[in-house]
Amino acid sequence: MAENQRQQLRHIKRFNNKKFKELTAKYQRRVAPSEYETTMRDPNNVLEIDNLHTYFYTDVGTVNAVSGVTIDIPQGKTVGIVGESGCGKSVTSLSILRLLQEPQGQITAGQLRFNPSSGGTKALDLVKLPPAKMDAIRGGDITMIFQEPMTTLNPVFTIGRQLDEVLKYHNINKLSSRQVAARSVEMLETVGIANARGVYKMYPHELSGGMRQRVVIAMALMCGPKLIIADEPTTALDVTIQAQILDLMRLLKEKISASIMLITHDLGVVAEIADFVAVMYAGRIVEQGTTRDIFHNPAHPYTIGLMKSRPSNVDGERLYAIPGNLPNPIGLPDYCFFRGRCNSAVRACETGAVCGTDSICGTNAVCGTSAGGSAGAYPPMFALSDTHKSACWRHIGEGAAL
Amino acid sequence: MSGNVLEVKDLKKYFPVRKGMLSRTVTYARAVDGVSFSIAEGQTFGLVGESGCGKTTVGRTLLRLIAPTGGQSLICGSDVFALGPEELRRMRPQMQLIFQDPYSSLDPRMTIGEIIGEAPREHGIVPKADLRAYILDIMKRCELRAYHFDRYPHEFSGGQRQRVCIARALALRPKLVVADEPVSALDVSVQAQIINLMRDLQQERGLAYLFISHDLSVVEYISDYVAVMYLGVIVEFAPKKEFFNNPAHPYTQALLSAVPSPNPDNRTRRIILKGDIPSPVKPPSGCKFHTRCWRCTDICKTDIPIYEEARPGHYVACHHRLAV
Repeated sequence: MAENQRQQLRHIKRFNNKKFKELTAKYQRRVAPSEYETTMRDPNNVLEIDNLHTYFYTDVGTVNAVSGVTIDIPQGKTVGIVGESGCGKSVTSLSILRLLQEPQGQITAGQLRFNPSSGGTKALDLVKLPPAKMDAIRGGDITMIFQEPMTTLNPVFTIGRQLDEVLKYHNINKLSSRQVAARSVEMLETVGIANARGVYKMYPHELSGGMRQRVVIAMALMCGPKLIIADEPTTALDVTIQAQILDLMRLLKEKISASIMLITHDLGVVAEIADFVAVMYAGRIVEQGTTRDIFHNPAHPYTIGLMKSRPSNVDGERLYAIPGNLPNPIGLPDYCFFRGRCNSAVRACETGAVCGTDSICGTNAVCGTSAGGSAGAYPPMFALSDTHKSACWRHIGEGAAL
Repeated sequence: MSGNVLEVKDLKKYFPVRKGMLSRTVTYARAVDGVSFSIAEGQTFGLVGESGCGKTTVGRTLLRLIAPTGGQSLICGSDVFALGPEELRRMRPQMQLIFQDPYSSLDPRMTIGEIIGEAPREHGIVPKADLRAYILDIMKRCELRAYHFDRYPHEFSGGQRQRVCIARALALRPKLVVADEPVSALDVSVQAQIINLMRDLQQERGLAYLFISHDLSVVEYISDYVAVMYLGVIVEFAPKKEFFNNPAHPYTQALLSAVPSPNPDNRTRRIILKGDIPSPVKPPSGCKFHTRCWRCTDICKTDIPIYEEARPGHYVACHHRLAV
């Protein structure tokens, strides 16, 4: 067994090395603007994530962290991405900012179309964008708020210096140092810090968790971003402080008209501030729609399970628990990833829709063979309404496959 | 009252704050400043509060994992703080603890069987010959498979590790289990599995739980009685129904309103508290909550509110307790 295993690991290593060379060469060559300039499908979107695939080539095999995620983020709206740990929600956000651990982590397919301005300029495909151009966008047009404010801020520099740095790096308007400092203080005031001038001179350890998260938000707002990615912004905070920060984010969204992509595992937080929600499971989106769609008519068995397993005041009743665990992200099956844990699997989950015998065939565009594969293939997205989509074979015949 | 598994009376724990070259104690951080409550057999007592309010210190002090500054902790009738080392050791199986983080509370070099079996072997809970069968039985009860016996913690997911922690605590046949944020590090779906398991075991064995958590929805689900702590003192205590339907202390009301609701149409105006929890080294005068309270008046700044019964079984410490 051991020899066999070693051989397998060697094989993986050879495969990975070949991949790294190939992909590094691809990223290092000069890229002509024509390659990364695209057009948006809908000019009102700030970002269109289109069929994004992010893989990690690890020593034990290829991890399909994100496989085929498609989300539109409209101008001025908040899109929530919900999922449990390991579902690929953070990797999606890191892919957008191209902050993946390279060369192991790679975007292998898909487009990230970003609309830098609502005017006539061309949209950019962030996947193909050369590093120098990406640097200008990262922290400028697209910013990020991380989970842990304690580790986001550098302990050896003052808050003011760290805020100024952002604007100095992206200095578009050629401000003087004094103007930059004034802008930093102004931003600290915007995020509700009372003693802004004092905090400007403080070090991170002098602030509480909630205050630090406010500073991180101020930092994200410094350059007037188009899109803010908030990765679990309130997870490390207490409920009362979480309420403060969510309130602040809601207020700021109205003020600055930026779009927010909110990544969280907490369904309550999403219901609180998101306009659209996407539920992720094992690297794929299983259901997406408006917040009302998802919370009032959850369609995918996984979403329904998540909602039911939230403890609420159901007296004496046992909590619903989704059986089993997340699938191993290495070597995921080609059928629905949730099949093993699902309590409402239908025949199509095992066999796929069979052409000619299923009643839906002919009456609807959907059919197992045309909708992406053979028996029991991974279900396509079914459109349940204009906004609501779910990737589950249960909806076969209910809506059009996308 | 007899039949109480745990009785805590006026528990105090001050941590010294040392400064200067000689590390002289300049002042004390009053982490727990006079806390009293009791838990009967088969009941769950939920202890809620924000980080830094002293809820974890209460759990550790009453088990005498850290030395108390004052007060009494009676477990099954014997005063834990007065016991000698040998007596204390004999008491240990009665009181067990489940930690928050299942990743750091298991020894990575021990197999699951060794982790669960170590304490029963040391305390001679079962004869040596029966130990393996006993452990397998406990594992089965906690929904772990027999082949997990020889595995190491790193091979398990977070939920399974928490099952191991629960099995380890139960192997000693305790009367009282202090569960310190047992589900906070877990995903929602796994959280439900662990909560169900804890409830099943409680019904089966008549365990008393001290359930320490910051998550009000979990506490509401599992507890019979709930107490809220703020800066080392209990500010409100009531049976669960009464607590969630008629919260009387302004802090409790703010906590309850801060929980995000899973209904997108129900984005209610919430009570947003200003600022952060003050330092326990220099607690505010009078009512400790007055710096963040929206109903604060002059009396709150000077007089410490009395912790008294506002309704039958419902205790509050507030000068302006509401709607009672």
